[in-house]
Amino acid sequence: MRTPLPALSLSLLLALAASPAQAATQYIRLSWDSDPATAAVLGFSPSGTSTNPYALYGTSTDESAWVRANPDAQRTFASSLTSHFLRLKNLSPDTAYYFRVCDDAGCGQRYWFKTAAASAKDQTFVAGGDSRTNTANRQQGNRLVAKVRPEFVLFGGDLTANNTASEMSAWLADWALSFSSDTINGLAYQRVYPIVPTVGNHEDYNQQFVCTVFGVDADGNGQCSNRDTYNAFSLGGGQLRIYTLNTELALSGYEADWAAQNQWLSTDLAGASGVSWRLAQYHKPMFPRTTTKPAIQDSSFTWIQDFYDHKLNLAVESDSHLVKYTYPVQPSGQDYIKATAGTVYLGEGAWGAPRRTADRVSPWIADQDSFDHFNVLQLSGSKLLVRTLRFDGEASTGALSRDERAANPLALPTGMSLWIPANVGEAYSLERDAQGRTTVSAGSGGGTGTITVAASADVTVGSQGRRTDTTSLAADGSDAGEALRGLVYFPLAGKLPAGAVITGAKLRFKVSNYSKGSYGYYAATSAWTETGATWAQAATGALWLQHTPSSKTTYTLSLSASVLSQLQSWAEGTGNFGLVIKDEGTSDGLAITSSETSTAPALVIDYSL
Amino acid sequence: MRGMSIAIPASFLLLACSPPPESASARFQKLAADGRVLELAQGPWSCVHDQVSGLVWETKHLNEDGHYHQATYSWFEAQSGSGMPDGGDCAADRDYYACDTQDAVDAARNERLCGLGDWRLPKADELASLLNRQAPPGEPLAHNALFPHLLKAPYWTADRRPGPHGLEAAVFHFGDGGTAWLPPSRAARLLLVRGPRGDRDAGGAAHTARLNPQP
Repeated sequence: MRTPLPALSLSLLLALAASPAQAATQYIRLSWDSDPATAAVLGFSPSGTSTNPYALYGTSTDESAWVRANPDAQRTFASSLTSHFLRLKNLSPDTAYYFRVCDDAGCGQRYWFKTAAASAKDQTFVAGGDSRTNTANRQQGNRLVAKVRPEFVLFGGDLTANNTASEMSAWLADWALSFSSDTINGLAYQRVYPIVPTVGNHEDYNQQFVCTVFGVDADGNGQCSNRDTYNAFSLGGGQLRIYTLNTELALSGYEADWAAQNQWLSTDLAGASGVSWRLAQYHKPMFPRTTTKPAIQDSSFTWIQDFYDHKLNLAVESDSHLVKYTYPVQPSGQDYIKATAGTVYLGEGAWGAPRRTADRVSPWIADQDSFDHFNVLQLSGSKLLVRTLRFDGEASTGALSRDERAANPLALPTGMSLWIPANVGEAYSLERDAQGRTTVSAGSGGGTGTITVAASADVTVGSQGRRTDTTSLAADGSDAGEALRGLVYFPLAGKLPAGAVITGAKLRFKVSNYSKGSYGYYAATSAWTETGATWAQAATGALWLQHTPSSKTTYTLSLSASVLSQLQSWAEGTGNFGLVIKDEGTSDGLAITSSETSTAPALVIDYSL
Repeated sequence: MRGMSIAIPASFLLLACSPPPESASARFQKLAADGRVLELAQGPWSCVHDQVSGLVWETKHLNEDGHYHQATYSWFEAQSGSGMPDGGDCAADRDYYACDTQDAVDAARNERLCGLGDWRLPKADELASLLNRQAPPGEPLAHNALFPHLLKAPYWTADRRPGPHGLEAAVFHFGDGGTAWLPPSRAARLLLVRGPRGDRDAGGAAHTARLNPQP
């Protein structure tokens, strides 16, 4: 434990803060383990040698009004990842806090976070898990958190593959991608989102990482123990009670802790009066949806009756690296049965961990699939809305601004690639019946919807052998004597709900170099790749439309009925070679922004069920 | 919800449910990465030649490279523009990237795995020909000494059909020996094959095509 600096005046501290020197700290993180309206745990690590680290924070950006707080604890994870933890207490509910982490070398960059409300309010939060192994996909998910701007993030375990210090350091570095960049009163800030971590099986030999890496101290005793690996707290004055459970205590040599957790859970669920929604997150699903896992996980299955008896509304499971929604269910022997009112289970953790086959069939599943995602949950009046955000649509997903989030706690980014599960639709609308169990809102699962599918690949090819794959996609009748065509691929298969009929579609693209000439948009007729596309592969099939892209703007062009039938085939997984952009006799070149940018070409598709 | 059982032609079941016509040691040959035929006691090996069917099978291993046993793939066929690209997770140099079955086929062909350049997805009956119901309890239903890193998991096949809600491809499961249809997005495992295609006769008569790997 470091020695505090008792004699330093605030003015001196601020002078230090204003100096160009930077604190030698890194890996900022914020976690919740108790009343999130009034408390949070700020964690950070030294970057090299950091002497006398501390934090300055306050409720405005006026740093002269900030207070200094020294870390309460220093903990070491896996022998080498040192973290300092500062438990922020007596905070004001639903309030923005601004802070910097400092040490004798100076202060680091500016951050802010927000406490939870003390009374019920509409809000958006994120739940997912399993970020091990595939770092590119993990980073995609983190960047999407920054775009969504949730109140907090529930994380279902298996952060890394081996739970080593180096892996965890890399994970914490990646976690910074989840911070949103803001300019407040002319200064650059980063919005930090509180995380509520869960133990997964890849952390089972060092389950106390929730304490040593995230500062979770569930029992508030200042020590790390297995008791810190399960926990519950309420937010919104009882609007939502969140249970974080540890499936890994079972069969791991911690039988006493496992039994203690189960006893605690029963007692807490039974005694949690004044609570509206009850949500649990834990790692291993009761009934995994992949056949490479056991049909029943005995650990979480232990809780099935308590969940139903005590009206747990929603369980977010992880571990299998796939996606699922159940209908409301209730226990029935060694299985669930679909119920009018019961518990809804979501899962099963794919935040970068290798995707697995969703191939176990049960009648209580609304739908299941295999892709990277997290769930976006919204408390909206009396409803709980569930959406699942696909990581593969990151490029087309807009970013909410600080003002947009402040104006509307239920705002969602434009262009999100959402899963549209069969029997549910884009949003799973849940309510509570008179007994408090989960029901599906009337009218859910049918009707119409719209999805946006951004291009996942594109390349420019030339008649004389040119091939360029950059942030710009070009077409031209003659570019220095060479004709150019653009090839674009839209990954439409599996993006529409089962049985959906396409009723309308638009092609959207952003022109970066306009043309006074006409261009045609044709179906491609053969397979191509970004790294190997040839001029012959840019041969044109059916004409979709012709258009003169005469200004540097984003065009959204309606597609005809004949194109819709082709898109229907693409959506059903057949005959999709993408699109060719070709000049219609002009040598006034066209360029549009490509799939390597945040304004990728996209298909906007309307459908009905 | 979309998975369902499919019927396997009786001839395939005959082959799959019958004891192997010969012992594994007589039936299979190990091949080195360059295509050399190895003694059964030798290794490492990258492929297995089934002298009964004439097929050569990729083998998986623990290294996180193009033949990593835990890699998953979405089902995608570039030639017909069918399926879903890049919906699985493949390993390369201890990192991972999004991949599909076409990527695996292309990579094995480019690599000339075991000296061969005509790798493809197996048909369901071809995968079923590897079924070994005498495998020890709890193990994948395969010849695990030859395929030690095969998993009790669904493996993609080349078989496809227009399902009720779009294209579906068949998977063969080495956990139960069953076959099912799944949407192409479902990220299953893959074991590539090369060799003679076509239906077997009812007795699973031995193909006599000889392996002739190119250096």
